[in-house]
Amino acid sequence: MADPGTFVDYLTADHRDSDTLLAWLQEQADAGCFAEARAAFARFRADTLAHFAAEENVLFPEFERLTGIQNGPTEVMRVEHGDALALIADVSLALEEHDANRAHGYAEALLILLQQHNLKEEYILYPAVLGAAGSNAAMLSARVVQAREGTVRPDLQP
Amino acid sequence: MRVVQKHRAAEAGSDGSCVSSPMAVSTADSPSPDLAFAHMLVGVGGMGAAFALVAIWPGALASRWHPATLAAVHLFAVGGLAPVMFGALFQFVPVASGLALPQWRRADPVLLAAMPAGASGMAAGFLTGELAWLSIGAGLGLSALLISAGRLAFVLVRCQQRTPIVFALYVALLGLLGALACAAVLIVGLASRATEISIALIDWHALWAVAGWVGGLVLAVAGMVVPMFHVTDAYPPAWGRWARSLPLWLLAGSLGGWLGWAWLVGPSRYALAATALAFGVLTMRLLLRSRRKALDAFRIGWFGLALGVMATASLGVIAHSTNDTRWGLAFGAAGLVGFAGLGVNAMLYRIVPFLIWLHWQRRNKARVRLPLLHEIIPAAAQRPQMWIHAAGALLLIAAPFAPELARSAALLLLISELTLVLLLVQAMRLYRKNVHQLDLMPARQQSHP
Ligand code: HEM
Ligand SMILES: [Fe+2]
Ligand SMILES: [Fe+2]
Repeated sequence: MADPGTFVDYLTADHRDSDTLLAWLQEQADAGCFAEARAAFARFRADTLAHFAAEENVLFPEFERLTGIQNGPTEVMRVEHGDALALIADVSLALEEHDANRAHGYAEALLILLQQHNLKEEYILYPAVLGAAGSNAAMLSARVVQAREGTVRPDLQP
Repeated sequence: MRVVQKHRAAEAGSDGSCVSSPMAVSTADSPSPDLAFAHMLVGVGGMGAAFALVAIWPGALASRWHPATLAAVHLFAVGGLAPVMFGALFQFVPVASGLALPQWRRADPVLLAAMPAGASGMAAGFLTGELAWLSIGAGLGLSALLISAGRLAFVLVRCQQRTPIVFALYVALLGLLGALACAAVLIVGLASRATEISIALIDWHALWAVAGWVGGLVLAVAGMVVPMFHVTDAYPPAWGRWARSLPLWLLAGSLGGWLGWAWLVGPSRYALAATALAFGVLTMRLLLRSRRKALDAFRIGWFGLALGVMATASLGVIAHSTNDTRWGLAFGAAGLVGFAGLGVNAMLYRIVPFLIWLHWQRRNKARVRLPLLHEIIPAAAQRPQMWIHAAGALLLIAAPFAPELARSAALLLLISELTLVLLLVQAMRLYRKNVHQLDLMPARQQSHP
């Protein structure tokens, strides 16, 4: 990437990539191609966990520090991450058991959950952090990218 | 696995301020979906009532001024579309703007009841010619819609987001206010038995309502739903800027109609049609490129909506350039039933199962296996219902030209709405039953068996 942009662009692109992966794995599972579905799922899960970790370890604390709001939007986002993790575990189990019906249903719920979650982040939370960060945005962005690409928090593993 | 807790953040933004807490509200805080569900059921029932009326008086499709036409239109719009759309806004606005629509525990059921009651009063007034009924119905309907519009305005002016979705919500709000302003003038005219009721005013009342209000809401929802749920690219940014001009054309056209400036009316109508056509083409293109191929009821509904808006735009242009009034009727049928009706139908299949599932999930401390999304409203039932609706809409659009089709069209649409009511009622009963059972179960420690 020539211009890395801010963490907003970076995390938004991350959301879109995982939508595509999720749609694809759902299609594979519907078609009974479980090997392909599981491969896509493994990538999806790793990406999503790292993404959540970057948000929960870097971005959300930054929001809380900058705005002084502890139990507000970031808490809602954490709860939704928790919902997503539960669903990721459900999809995982369904794929292991080659249960296309359940895999489809859980993946569908996960897709909707993540869509409305991502929308709130992209339109509301990310711009708020970016605005509050001011001249520190570039440094914050670097930290977010580093966290996203380097870490997988063990306690976020389903 | 982290335990998913019920969080306590709900109060943070309940005063409606989005300055201190830009995202205080989300699905997580919606206390329970009951209010939204009640709106949706009432609304689908209202649409069914409109089709029952047409089935009884198929002559409705013969003239714009047939009393049954006016009655059916308002049963559909004020008793049907309005409750569903305001119900959906309870869920949609928080996601789009970060702010919840305030809920009024005592007043909300009254406000909701006023919509079908007002629509019925108006229908009775049109059918019997009794001005008293018409005035009471219109008074109720106007008040309920104005108060609901006020609630939306209250949230929008507080919201600092300036996204295309928030703009589209503004368009919807302006559209509703424009339609209601024209309606108030019309009603005062009718009630004072004015000799001449301006047809231009009726036209613009209908256009503000359908293009402005319904169109604006569909734009808002589409901007969010199409890219995300169909997994496609976003609408081009140029489209978002263009779509903002919608109220401008409505305003210019109504002013032109009022002042008798034909040179302003024509171009405004063409600009509206071009906007609608562009929206249909763009939506269709996105849907065809969607990275999700499964043809479920939701996708069928969105294809239908895209076709419906293109048909509406084309019929509107034809209706404007001919003296044959049947095109105007076809235009109305396409706009209300093909475009708005199908859109509402498709969205219900997405919103209702998800809300139910989410509220279960949050209470599922025992981690028991719950019905899947496509089992909450059985997918096998959704598709035929959707096809019946689409077929009914097609026949209804054709009915002004082939009057013998009117009754079959109305019956198909009635069956479709009754099926939808049944499916929704079943889903909501399942919701209640499981919520009750989940609340009784002990929490489980580990996440999976
Ligand atoms: C409570 C609010 C409303 C009132 C009081 C009202 C009142 C009226 C009146 C008095 C007319 C003219 C009837 C005549 O020619 O005698 C009319 C026509 C019409 N209204 Fe409404 N209206 C309301 C809401 C709506 C809404 C929300 C919509 C659509 C979404 C709508 C769509 C139409 C249409 C399409 C016509 C023209 C019917 C035709 O050309 O055959 N109205 N309305
Ligand atoms: Fe997130
Ligand atoms: Fe995110």
